[in-house]
Amino acid sequence: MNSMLAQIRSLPALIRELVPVLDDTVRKTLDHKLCLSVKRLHVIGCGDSHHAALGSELAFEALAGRPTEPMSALQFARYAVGYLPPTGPGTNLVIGVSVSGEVARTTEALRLARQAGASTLALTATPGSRLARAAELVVLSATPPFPDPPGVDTPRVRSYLASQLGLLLMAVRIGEVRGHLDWGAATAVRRDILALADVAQRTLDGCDRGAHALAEEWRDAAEFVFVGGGPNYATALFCAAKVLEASGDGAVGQETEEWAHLQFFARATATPTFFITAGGRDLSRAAEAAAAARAIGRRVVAVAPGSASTLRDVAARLLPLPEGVPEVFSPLVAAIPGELFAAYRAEVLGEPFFRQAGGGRAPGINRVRSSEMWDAIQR
Amino acid sequence: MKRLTTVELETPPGESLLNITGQVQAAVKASGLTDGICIVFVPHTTAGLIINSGSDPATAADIGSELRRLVPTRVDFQHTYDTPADAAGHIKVALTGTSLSLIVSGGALALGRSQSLMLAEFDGPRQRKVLVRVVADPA
Repeated sequence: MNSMLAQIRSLPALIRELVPVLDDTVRKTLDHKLCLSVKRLHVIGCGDSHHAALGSELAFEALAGRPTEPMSALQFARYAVGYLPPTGPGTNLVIGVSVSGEVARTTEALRLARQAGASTLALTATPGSRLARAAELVVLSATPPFPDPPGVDTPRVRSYLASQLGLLLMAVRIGEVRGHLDWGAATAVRRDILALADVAQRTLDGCDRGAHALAEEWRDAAEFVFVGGGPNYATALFCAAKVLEASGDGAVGQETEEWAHLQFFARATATPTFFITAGGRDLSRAAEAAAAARAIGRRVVAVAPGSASTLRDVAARLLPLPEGVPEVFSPLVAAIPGELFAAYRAEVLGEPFFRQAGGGRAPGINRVRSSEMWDAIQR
Repeated sequence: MKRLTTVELETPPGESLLNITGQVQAAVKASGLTDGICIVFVPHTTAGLIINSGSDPATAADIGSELRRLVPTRVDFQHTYDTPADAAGHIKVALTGTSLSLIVSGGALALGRSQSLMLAEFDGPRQRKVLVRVVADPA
């Protein structure tokens, strides 16, 4: 089994292990004063962490009852931080997400957020990292060790899930302290989050064979498009990222409405296009866009519950998500089909993950960790 | 004789005083006890027991608001694992208590005409239990 498939198959157990630990940490870190003071949140990161941030927006708004703006770390650090509303101490909470804690842009963003008077929290797996030291509060999202085979750098899916869980549990915590969720509702949400372990297992069981078959069938394809709306726009971006990391194919994540304005006009006809939805508010638009995609020759895959018949009926293939997953939780499982596809795609092509750092990709050349950081907010 | 009965309740959101006199009386009657002691106990730390007048809902409202005046739901409790309402609830239960000892005479609780037993919920909605234990007078 390739190491990425091994990571993906470990996700149900990881949910069971992490939820109680993260919930305990979040409760001890987000105190009553902070939860009651915060008026708005910014959730920021790069790469997978940015995707986790995007996927958490609905959770913070629906469960915590607080307006939330997810952003790339660059957008926040260089453009937004200077315009945080001056609404007083504790009212702006900026959560910086970075598993390594060493991403320069995210560290810069939290440092500048502190200069701007915001409350800052680092969600990271690395205690003592630059990000952790830049923030007033730290929630550690470390996952149990899952070593790579020697010489293999595996595209990460476990750390993404940990970040998603950390953010989701923060939303619950803020919501219950604020009274937006009463005790019963908060208890039910926590129980539903833990139950996502079973949902993840069912997703794996339902999609593994189909994802493998698609990877075999589409050996000829050179580019893949993942489409999602609402919280699953983040899922689309993340799945594209995993294809880029795993097999190096051209891959794009796009928002459902935007697909109709943009990729609809791409010249390449038979591009495999995955429409990802939990069957929620984006379903009708996903079905419309998928029908258009099919009409112009795209190889359309529905990543959706089987009951999403309007989408399922226009797709050539279905990678089924379990029924009844609330949209707010769906990013935690909706990425699994795309992850499986990416892992199998690399295996089918015999392509080493991350190009094995070849092709001029000397360590640090993309300067993710060593990028020059601003010391002061610029407006 | 059925000596221990558990009454199960689902409480509404927030704070409430629930009249449980009927359920406890029923448990005493079902036990077959004629004369003795009935101990009513709630195994909770954010719900307590009170005996007071149940005839006017305004009395329950007054009790609730006075407890809130004594123990406001504030920001700076030291117990922060759950919510401020939970932290305040723990303190309120320390004031109300969680146990009542009542006299049973002639098969019924010897309550005054305007007395009612109330479960005081301080952080609902929750699943609550009320334990009713009867102890017969020595023969």
